[in-house]
Amino acid sequence: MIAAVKGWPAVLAALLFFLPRCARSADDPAGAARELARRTAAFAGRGALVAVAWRNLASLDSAAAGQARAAFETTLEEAGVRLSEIAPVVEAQITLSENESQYLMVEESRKGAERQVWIASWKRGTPPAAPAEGVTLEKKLVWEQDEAILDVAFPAAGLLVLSPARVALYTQANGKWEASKSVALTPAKTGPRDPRGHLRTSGKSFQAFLPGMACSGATEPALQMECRAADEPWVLESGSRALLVGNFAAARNYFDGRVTTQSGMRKTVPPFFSAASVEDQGRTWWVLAQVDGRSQIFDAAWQPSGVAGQWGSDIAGTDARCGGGSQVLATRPAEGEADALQAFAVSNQAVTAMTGAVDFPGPVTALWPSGGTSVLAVARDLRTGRYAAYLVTVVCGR
Amino acid sequence: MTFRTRLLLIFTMAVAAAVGVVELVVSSRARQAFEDMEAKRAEALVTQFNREFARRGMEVMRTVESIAASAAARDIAISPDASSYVDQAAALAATHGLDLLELVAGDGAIVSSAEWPARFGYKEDWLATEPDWQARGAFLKREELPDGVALALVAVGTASAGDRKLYVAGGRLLDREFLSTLVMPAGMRVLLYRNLAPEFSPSELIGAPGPAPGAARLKSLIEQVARERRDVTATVGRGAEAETFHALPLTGYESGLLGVLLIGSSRRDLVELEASMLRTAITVAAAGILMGIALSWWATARITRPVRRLAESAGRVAAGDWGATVEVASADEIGQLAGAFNRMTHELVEQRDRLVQAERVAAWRELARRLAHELKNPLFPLQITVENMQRARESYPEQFDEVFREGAATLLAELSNLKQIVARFSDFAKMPAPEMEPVNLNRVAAETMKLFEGQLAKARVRASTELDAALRPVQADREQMTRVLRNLILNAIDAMPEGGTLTVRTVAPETGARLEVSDTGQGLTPEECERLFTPYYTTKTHGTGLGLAIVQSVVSDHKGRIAVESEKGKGTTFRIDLG
Amino acid sequence: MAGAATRPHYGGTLRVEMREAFESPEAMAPPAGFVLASWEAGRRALYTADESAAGGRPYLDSIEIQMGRPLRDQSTDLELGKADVVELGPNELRRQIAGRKVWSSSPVRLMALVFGPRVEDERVREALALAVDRGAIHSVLLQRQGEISGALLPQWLSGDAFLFAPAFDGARARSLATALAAPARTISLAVSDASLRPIADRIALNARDAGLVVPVSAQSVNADVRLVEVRMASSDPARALAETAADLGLAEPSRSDTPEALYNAERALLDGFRVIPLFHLPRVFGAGPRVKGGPGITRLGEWHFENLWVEDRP
Repeated sequence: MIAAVKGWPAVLAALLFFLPRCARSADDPAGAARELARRTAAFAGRGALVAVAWRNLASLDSAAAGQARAAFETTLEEAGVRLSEIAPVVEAQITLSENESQYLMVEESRKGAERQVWIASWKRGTPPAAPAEGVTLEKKLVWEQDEAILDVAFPAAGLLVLSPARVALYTQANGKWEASKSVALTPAKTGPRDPRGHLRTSGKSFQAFLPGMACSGATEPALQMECRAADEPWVLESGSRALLVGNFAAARNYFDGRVTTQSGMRKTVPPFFSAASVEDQGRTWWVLAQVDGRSQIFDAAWQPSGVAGQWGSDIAGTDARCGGGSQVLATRPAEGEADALQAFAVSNQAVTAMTGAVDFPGPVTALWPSGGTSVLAVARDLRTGRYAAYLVTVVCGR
Repeated sequence: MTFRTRLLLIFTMAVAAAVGVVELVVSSRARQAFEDMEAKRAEALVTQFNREFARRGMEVMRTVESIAASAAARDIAISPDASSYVDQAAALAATHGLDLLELVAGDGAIVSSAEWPARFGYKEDWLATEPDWQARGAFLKREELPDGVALALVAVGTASAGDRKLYVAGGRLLDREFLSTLVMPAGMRVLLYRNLAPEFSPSELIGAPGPAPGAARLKSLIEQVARERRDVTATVGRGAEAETFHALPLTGYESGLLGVLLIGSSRRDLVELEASMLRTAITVAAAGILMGIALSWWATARITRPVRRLAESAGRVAAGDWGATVEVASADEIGQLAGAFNRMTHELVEQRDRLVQAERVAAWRELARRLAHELKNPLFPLQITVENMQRARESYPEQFDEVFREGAATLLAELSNLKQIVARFSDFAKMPAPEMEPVNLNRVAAETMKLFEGQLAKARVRASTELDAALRPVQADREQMTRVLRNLILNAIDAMPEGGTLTVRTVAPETGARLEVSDTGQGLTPEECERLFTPYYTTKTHGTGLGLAIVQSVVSDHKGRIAVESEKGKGTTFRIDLG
Repeated sequence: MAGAATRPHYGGTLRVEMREAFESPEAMAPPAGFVLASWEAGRRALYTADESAAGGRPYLDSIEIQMGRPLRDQSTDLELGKADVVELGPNELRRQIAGRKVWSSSPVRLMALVFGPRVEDERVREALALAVDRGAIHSVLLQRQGEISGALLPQWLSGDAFLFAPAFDGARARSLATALAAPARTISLAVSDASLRPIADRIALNARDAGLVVPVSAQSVNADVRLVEVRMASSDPARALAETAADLGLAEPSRSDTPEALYNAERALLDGFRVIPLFHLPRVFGAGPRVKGGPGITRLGEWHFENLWVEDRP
């Protein structure tokens, strides 16, 4: 490795190179490479032989590195300098490196006893999105964005996306969803951490439930919505038939336990994050993923009658009836790591896993029934930080 | 030396010799017994040390082997990354009671060191040199520690897992704590010199209480053991502080001398015993001597007192008191001796009186003879001259005037001669007492010689002066000393009628002064030397013979001495010592 | 934003322990989203959740911070369940503890040798710089935490730390030391942080191999050289360089608008071996099993507790 610059003469020499031409940030690797190549040519002199060694310490892929190298060599040739490993006048070591905000191209050149160090840089862009990984079960990516997704609904010919700060409507055009309109949400006070929200659509109209706010609107002819501060209970479906109405705790991320059953009965149960109903032998049971970590099974009289096992805090019911009983999708009881969904059957208060786990590239941040045998799962990609909404469908018979 | 003293000495020597012999014999026997006992005790201590050393070694060996056999050692041996075990040795050493412990990988790199934690990764290549550490047992080793060097009893165990090996090298320091486990009889101590520095270092000598004081006096013993690599015994110190040390070399792992064990046995008891015996001997001798003094006093009183009285009287006689007598108190030999002494002194007195009388008579006779001779000489010419004048008046009056003139001259000359003779006698009779003052005899000699220059030249006598410049002034009468010198010079001239050399010499002895007058005349016989200073003894045909008598009288008045040395035909030297 | 398969729980107190002890609250950066409730200088601080914090009220009700705890005691408390978040040193990191999470920042701590003004001969400083075997210290004592460095700024921050590759040349160090007079070969090394003492002892041993005598002590008054740690608090390279230079007692670096100017400024600070960078280390924390929602630190190793919550379920 070429030794680093030492001594005031070298620093002065570096400054002389520095002053006439400001070492400003380049736009891309090629620009940075050309910058260094010009300096190298001036250092070596026209017609001189230069030996160059390359190494990549950055996260740049081979394409970008190749681009830089090509630009460097081309510029050198244009300046009348030839590349050669045999008896070079100048030996250069070029290292691709990076810091938080920039990529660096660092050249250490030596001509006899004289040494120079030059550094060119360019800004780091948005890293390319990583493709979603395949699932074992039927998992389909329906939408992804940088902003958090609280829920996604599918009104007529559209995609309605609920985020903490807005509701956006997307319409299909040329096989792709294109933004149609979005309406900002302006809550009266700051929302809680781990914001949650739920969309309920009915034809063209929709309801949006958020902590401390209730919104209603329509998607046609254009998206419009009205919101007001309210502590109205949320309507929780399970599959397409079961319903539960539960009060959401103010400034929190869970339901406070005051529920009203489909039959109108008011009950107070332990606080819970999510709920799903199951049918077993003609009876409807509810499972609540409670705040205390247990997934409690309640009978028709809303009496506790067993624990579903080690599930995560997000469960959602479906209409899937694979094997006779109904299936509930539940997340894994882990935090901070890649999550998974698995379908379970609950029968005679016993829980049985029905499928293998469907993996997600990060934690599941929202799980809502999407009607029928599907659920809408939102996961945050741990690597990219983007949120992706998936429709996960329980397919029986595979 | 008096008889009493001699007798006393004989008694004393007899007593001292007897007591001394007894003391020597007893002392020698006691020392031998002490040294025999001391040797036995030292041997027992050496045995005890060796046993304790072996026991410690076994203990260290067992501990090290148990660590090597433990699961922890095996885990370290097979672990591909030993870096996480860097603290292991300290914990193992603490739990197993070892002062030193190193866990070393098969390639010799230290995994963990209890005594020097920072040395991980450093190589201990010596561990691979021994094929069977178990058979080697425990051994002494020089250990480097962060704050210096120490001596330790070390053993090595090996943990093996497949082809992976871990050396477990552990030990205990050989320090004062080890020494304190040895049981020492009273008067004995054990020291350990740790031979860890290139040069002798006093701080490396330790005992059970700690650093041993006075290490410098053991330096030569320790160096001798280091050179010769064998046991050495030597006594160090003097008197009650003396100690006999048995020094044993302690060799280490590679046969290097790592330490010297010193077992010291104080000689205080022996010294005190010897001192006690000596004191007793001295006491007995002193008593014996006192008794001897008493006996000798009594014995000599019976013998020496009369003898001393005899001796005293003899001394008085020698001093001139010829009338001294001794009391006769017994009828034995001493009494007989006393009687004989008394008779002798009585005889002596009588003889002296007779001698004195005879000498006086002889001296008067001599004086009368000389006087008669001296006076006779001028008297005859006087008588003849008067008779001649009488005859001339009577017989041939025409020649009376001439005869009267010649006769008158002769009468006057002879009368002058007579007057000189009378004057000399008068001078000699009434020579005054000297008036003393500091006189430099060199100056007197020089001045006197100057006066005689002409006379000496006329007598064809060469004058020589050898005056000592260091001559100090002496108390003398200048005039009389001048006279003395003049008389001696005149004598010398008279002794060299054909000429010769006259030498006047002064010498500065330690005290006083010496004056010598030498001639190269015909010399004197011994008989003549004897009678030289007798008044009117003269070898000269003229002169009164008073000259030397005056010299002797002056010298005597100056409390000096005069002597003469002469050899017939060679010359004579008169020597006067004053002061 | 917190997102987990298990939803965050509101409530509870997070028990945090730290080595440093601060006398006043201003000296310690408070955890974001919390407000100071009580302060016992040098011993304990209690922060409670700020209901109107940006991004929403934190899940935790409060954070209790115990100051001045040695690393070994912090690790024991974590194991016994008496603490939730503790600092971890290499020794503590070596021990495998079930249920313990480890949060590690980017290398933001610079461990370096800093010479005092008394050591005027540059040969002494260079000899010590060449004598230190960083590799052994890094792999054994630091358990390969962080990275060996010859630069003031870590690679991730400046991007050019590789240009300051540290040299380990025992032969040259010995030859420099041999040319010195005997008194100049003795340099006192002070290390006030007891957890760094094993590293200081190893440096002294390396120096001894080179012919230097380096007694180690805890007293830093009048020491010839000190083993210190400084922490980067800014992710802006120029600012981090200026703050690091100030912390190490070096001159203010020249203006560094570009990477090349930054490099030259850093090079100028390192000329003369007044400072010998050794390692860049992360801040490492351990979190107990009841702590969820981590990592609870930023890339710079600052606390980021707003999204943590605690659960007591088995």
